[in-house]
Amino acid sequence: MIKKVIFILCSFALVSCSTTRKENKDLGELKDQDFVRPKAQKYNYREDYITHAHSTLFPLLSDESMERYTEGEKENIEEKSNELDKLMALCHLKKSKEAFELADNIYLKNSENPIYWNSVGLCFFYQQDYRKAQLYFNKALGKEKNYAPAMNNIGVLYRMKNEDQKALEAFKTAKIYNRFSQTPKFNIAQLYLEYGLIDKAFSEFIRMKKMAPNDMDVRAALATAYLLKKEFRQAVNEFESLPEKIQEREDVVINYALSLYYSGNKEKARDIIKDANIKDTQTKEYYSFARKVVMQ
Amino acid sequence: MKTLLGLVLFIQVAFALDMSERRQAIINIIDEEVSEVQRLSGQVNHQNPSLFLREAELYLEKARLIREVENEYYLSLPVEKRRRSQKKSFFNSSKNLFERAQFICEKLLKKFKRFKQKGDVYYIMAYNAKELGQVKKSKKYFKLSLKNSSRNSKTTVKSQVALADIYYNEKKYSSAVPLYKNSLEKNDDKWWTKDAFNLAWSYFRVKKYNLAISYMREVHSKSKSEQYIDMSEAVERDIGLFYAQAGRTKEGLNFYEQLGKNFTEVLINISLRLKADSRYAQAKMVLIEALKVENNDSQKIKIYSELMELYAQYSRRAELLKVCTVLSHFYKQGSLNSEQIERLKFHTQNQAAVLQKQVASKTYKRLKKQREAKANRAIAFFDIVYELIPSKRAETRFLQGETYFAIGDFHKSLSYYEMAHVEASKQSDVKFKKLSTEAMLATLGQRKLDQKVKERYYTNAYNKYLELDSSSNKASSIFKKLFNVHFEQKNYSQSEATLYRYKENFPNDYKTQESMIARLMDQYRKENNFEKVSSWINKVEGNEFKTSANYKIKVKELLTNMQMKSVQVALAKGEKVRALKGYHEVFDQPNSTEEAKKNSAYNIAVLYYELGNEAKTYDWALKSLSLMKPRDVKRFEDSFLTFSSFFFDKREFDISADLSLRTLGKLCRQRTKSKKIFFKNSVFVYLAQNNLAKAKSVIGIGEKCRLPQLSISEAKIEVLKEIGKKEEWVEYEKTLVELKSMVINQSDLIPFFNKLYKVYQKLGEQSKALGLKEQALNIYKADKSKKRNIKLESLDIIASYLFEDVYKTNSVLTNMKLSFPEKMYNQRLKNKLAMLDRLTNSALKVHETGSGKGIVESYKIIIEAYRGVANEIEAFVPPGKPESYVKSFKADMRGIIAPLRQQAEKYRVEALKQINQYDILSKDTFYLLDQNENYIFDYSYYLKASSMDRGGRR
Repeated sequence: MIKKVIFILCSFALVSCSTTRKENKDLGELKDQDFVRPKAQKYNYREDYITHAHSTLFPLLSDESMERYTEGEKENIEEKSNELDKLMALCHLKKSKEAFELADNIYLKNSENPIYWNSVGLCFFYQQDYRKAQLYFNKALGKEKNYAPAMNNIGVLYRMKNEDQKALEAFKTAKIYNRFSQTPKFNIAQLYLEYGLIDKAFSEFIRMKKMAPNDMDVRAALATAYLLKKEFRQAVNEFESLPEKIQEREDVVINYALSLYYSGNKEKARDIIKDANIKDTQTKEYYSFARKVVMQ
Repeated sequence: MKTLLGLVLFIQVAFALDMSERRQAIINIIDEEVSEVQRLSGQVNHQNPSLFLREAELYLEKARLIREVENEYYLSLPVEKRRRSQKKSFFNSSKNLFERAQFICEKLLKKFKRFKQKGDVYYIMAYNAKELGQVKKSKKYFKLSLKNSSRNSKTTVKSQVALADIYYNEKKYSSAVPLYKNSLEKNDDKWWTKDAFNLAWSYFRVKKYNLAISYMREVHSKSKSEQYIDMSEAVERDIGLFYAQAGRTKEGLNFYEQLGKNFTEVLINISLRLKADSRYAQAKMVLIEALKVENNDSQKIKIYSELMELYAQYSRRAELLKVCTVLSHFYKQGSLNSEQIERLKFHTQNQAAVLQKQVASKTYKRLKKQREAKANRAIAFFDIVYELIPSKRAETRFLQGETYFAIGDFHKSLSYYEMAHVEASKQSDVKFKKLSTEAMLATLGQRKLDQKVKERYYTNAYNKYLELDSSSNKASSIFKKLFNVHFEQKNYSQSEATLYRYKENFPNDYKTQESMIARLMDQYRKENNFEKVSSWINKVEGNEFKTSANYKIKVKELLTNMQMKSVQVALAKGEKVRALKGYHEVFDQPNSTEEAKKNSAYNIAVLYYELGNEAKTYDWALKSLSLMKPRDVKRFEDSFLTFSSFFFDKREFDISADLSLRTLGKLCRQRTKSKKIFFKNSVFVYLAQNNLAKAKSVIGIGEKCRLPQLSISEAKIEVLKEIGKKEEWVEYEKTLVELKSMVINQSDLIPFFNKLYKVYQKLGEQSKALGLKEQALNIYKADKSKKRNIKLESLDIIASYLFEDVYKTNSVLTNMKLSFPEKMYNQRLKNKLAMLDRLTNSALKVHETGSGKGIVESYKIIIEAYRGVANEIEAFVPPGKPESYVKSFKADMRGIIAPLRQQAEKYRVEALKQINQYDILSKDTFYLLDQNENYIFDYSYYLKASSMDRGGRR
């Protein structure tokens, strides 16, 4: 009973303390200071990183991208960080309603900040509304001509549309915009690997491994590169250093099995390939072929 | 002496007869005596001076008598004759006689120097000279007579009297007095009264008034006796003056009352006489003294009337004015008779006129004080005239106005002109109405007139003028002045009334009407009297007043400015809430001009934008757009762009696109680069909203607005993509056809042709499909020949088309199986190798497209073909042939296989080089990686790519 009362009282308190947002005030409620727009913050590249960045499994891009954060890691950012990081986290958590509410609240302060617009674009990206996403990535580039994240994300959009050559160009441009950013290089390396430019991919992933030895995506890609270079034992070593849940990933498991197979560990290869859970249609084709090979 | 006495007796006797007869009788007697005396003198040898004396006396007497006759005759002549003739010529006879007498006396004195009766001789000579008009001589001889006569002798007395008379006549009264006095003391004959009368006058002249009065009284008293000449009448006539002059008026009054005479009448008569003698001061004094004692009004009036005449005669205007003023009071009481009234009228009018003339003349131009005094006097006279002559009141007041005008007292002149007008109006005197009005106007035009005074009179004067004349050019000018006066006095309703009157009288002078309206409206604007301004605008718009079209626009602008001013002031001060409310009010007012509403709507939109309220910003942006003309929208296009971007920022896509579209619609015919931006924004946002229909409609509008082909085609391409996604192929094809005719780089359309080609292929519409493929290829060739930039995607498609033939060739190659007999085998091998060449060439031709994928695929095809042929040759075992044959055959074939494999490897290495050099992304690369075709790998990152939130630490 007491709890109920407290709850009700708290509700009342919340209601009575709530204030109408200035843009929604009636004419009679308005004051001159309501018209005062806060000074829009300009872009500061020194502050353009994820604060409280932390990714256990994928640290390489942790201060550039929340893409590979776990849900818990994303929520951590949401709770601890500044408004922009919070916006970013909400988008990644696909809490678009809250994300947009926050975006509206911080709009005036950040209307000139490409970080803000990039985040809005990503919100739409994660809703798979790619046209809108592109419009906002373009907006970010409108605010800061050489804004690498927005250009990278345009590349990602091309990837989504399977326009990989265009994606590559976009990632390369993003790389030029910011030579210190790792994400475009990571994406380029992934494309190289996917399309058989093994040496280029390999050298990139070796470099990335030095930078972030605990990044599992880097190690998985490096393992694949070894496989494609037919350095099967090396490939196996890399694959085996990965955590189990990474090993079981669709883009890892098949090549892991093939590495094992070609390195002579056929039994394990077969076990792995049999247990593989492949959902992607294109990957299924590769899986069938690989299974045939491994089960020979 | 005796002779003298005898002479006198003669005269007296002669007097009793008829004058001329008597005279003649006396002359005869004298002649006789003259003869007798001459005889007697001759007898004594002219040694008896007495006889000489007697002769002289006789001649003197005769001369006197002859002179009387001559005088009578002379006076009887007509005046003209007398004027024309010499007077002296009529008195020659008497003159001769006088000279004769004179001669005798001179002779006597010369001859008889010790003659004891020299006094008498001199007396005769003196008397003679006096008759001859030789006053100087006469005086001299009288003095000599006195000197040479005994003191108490009659000759002395007579000489004294005569000399006193001379002095009296010469006005040497102080000299006359002692002579008269002495003679009167010694002589008490009948002439005493006459001489005493003169003495009294002499005393009067020397201001010994009491003595003068005393003698007069004595003369009057003695005149009652027959012994003396009756001078009572003369005394009664003159003593009044003496009393008056002595200040003993009451005594005088008593004197006359005792005589039963009216003192006033007497004094008046005295004054008249004095006046006739030009003794102004005395005449005045007499009358004034009379006034002191006179209680009767009618008598007073007489006195005043005489004073008036006196003052008028001697131009004593100040006193005259006072008298006239008094008389005018009597007039008002009805106490003046008609003659007096006429005299008063005459003098006042005359004086007023004279004074006015003097005031107006140049004479007194520099004598300001005097001039003013004269003016004031003239005015006062006119005031009396005003009372006296009611029929001329208008004129009188007008003249008073003129008088003041002449001295530059414009204030007073104005008031009098006004009075003149009033009088003229009462009397319906058009002439003076006009004159007074014009005079008022002329006065009002004087710079020296105090402005405040002018302001008091302007209205009246102008209105008066306009009553008489409201249609001439002058009237037009007066109307304008009247309008201005009312305006400056802040009497705007009257200004308006004047405007209406002006309009009635000058309906075609719209310029003036405009300027009057403009002033009124400007004033109302300053007062923020919105109602008045808008009512005038209605009148102008309703053509109640003729105005130019330009003016109508300006009038509306004024209202707009008025409405907006206070709001804009608030805005400028940063009072945005107040400004917002103000704009709302202006917008909501029914009388607000369109301009004001438009302005308000726009500003409201801006203010809501500043507040960050999308819905209201949109609402008001639309309102302002609907009110704006295209050129207005052009002026504010940046704002509308800002609004639209704001909506987009806030993810209000529909309103963002809609506003862009509407703005584009307004800017359709305007020359502005922003049309493209609005168009693009609208299309792309509608597409982002998956609103294909709207996007198409935007394109339609863009085409109507003649946007550049590039913008339209760019939009259509995006729409085409969406149509493709929806698989609406009819529309897809239609759009594609439209695009083909408008796109410059037609190779950009190749992917779309390709898509449609595949659709038709799938549908089994081969001819259609081939037609599309043909078009794509033609486009490619055309653009390539023009060295246009062809996109990679298009090149990849063209490459794939070219590969169709390559694959056909490859299929033929593959299907061409080697078989024995040997001849057949050799032929087929030859054919195969030739086909391989052809395949290689056609595959390598694809390189010309520049398609990365094409290049890789071509290499793959070639390598596959080479490997295939090599493998086929290696795998072939001649059937039914011995081992040695087979061994030899195989050895021979190794010579063909090895080069084939080498070539394949060469191509592989070449391919990989190109792939790495140009970063060609092709899955075929995996095939090329494996030299021995042993391994088939694949990879695809599960996320495809990582999004990027931040730039990262640097």
